Amino acid sequence: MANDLDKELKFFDAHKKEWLTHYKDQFALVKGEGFFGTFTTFEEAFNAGVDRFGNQPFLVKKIVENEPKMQFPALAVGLISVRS
Amino acid sequence: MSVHNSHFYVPRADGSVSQPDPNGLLAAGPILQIEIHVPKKIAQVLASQGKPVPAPQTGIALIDTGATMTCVHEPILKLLTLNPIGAVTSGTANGPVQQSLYPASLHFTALGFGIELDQVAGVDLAGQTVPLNPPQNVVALIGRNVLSRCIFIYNGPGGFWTLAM
Repeated sequence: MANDLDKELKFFDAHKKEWLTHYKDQFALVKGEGFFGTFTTFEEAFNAGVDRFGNQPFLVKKIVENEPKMQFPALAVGLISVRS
Repeated sequence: MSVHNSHFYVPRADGSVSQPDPNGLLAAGPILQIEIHVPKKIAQVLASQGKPVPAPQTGIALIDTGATMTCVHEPILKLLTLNPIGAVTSGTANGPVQQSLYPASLHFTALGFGIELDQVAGVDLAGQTVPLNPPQNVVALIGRNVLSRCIFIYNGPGGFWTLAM
């Protein structure tokens, strides 16, 4: 499925190993193929993203080895779905 | 702390209430009216650019203790001109799918209380209705990222539930 943040997610994945050594547990701010720093909290990263890019898509993602699993039973059994 | 109690009763013929109605709660589930707002930070940016801030969208939310994260009907997030700030992959019967994550502000009108959420998952809730008279569309599933801040009591035999925040 196409996602507005495909480019950012690929960029994040490509650099995750490197960032884990320097910025583990920080929140990365990524726009396009640009890295705009790390922040201690999600809120700080989000506010920095809005200040810099305005109301545009950008990626805020925690730099962790194993990402927490999200459970959506309603999604899993098809009661709700994701639009493509 | 704000406390909201929602009771279901079997009405008497004269319109007065009588005994608790567990089947009413069974049919409707723990639902409440919510407003979905543009988060304050984005509203400030829109205002500073001279752009209108979209009006809040209202609808019915269903409390879903099975969902890690709160889900909102994605077209509503688009109406609010919100953009994704993350993504998460979830398992479905048809294999893994990617969900966009959005910032959002939820206001629980019955509680007089609002929460700025870092992220909600954008999903398709089309066709999900609550059997009220008239039926109403479900626009959000309240997940554990909201419930982690609340006390939630579901009393099936009593036909009521309580949310304290």
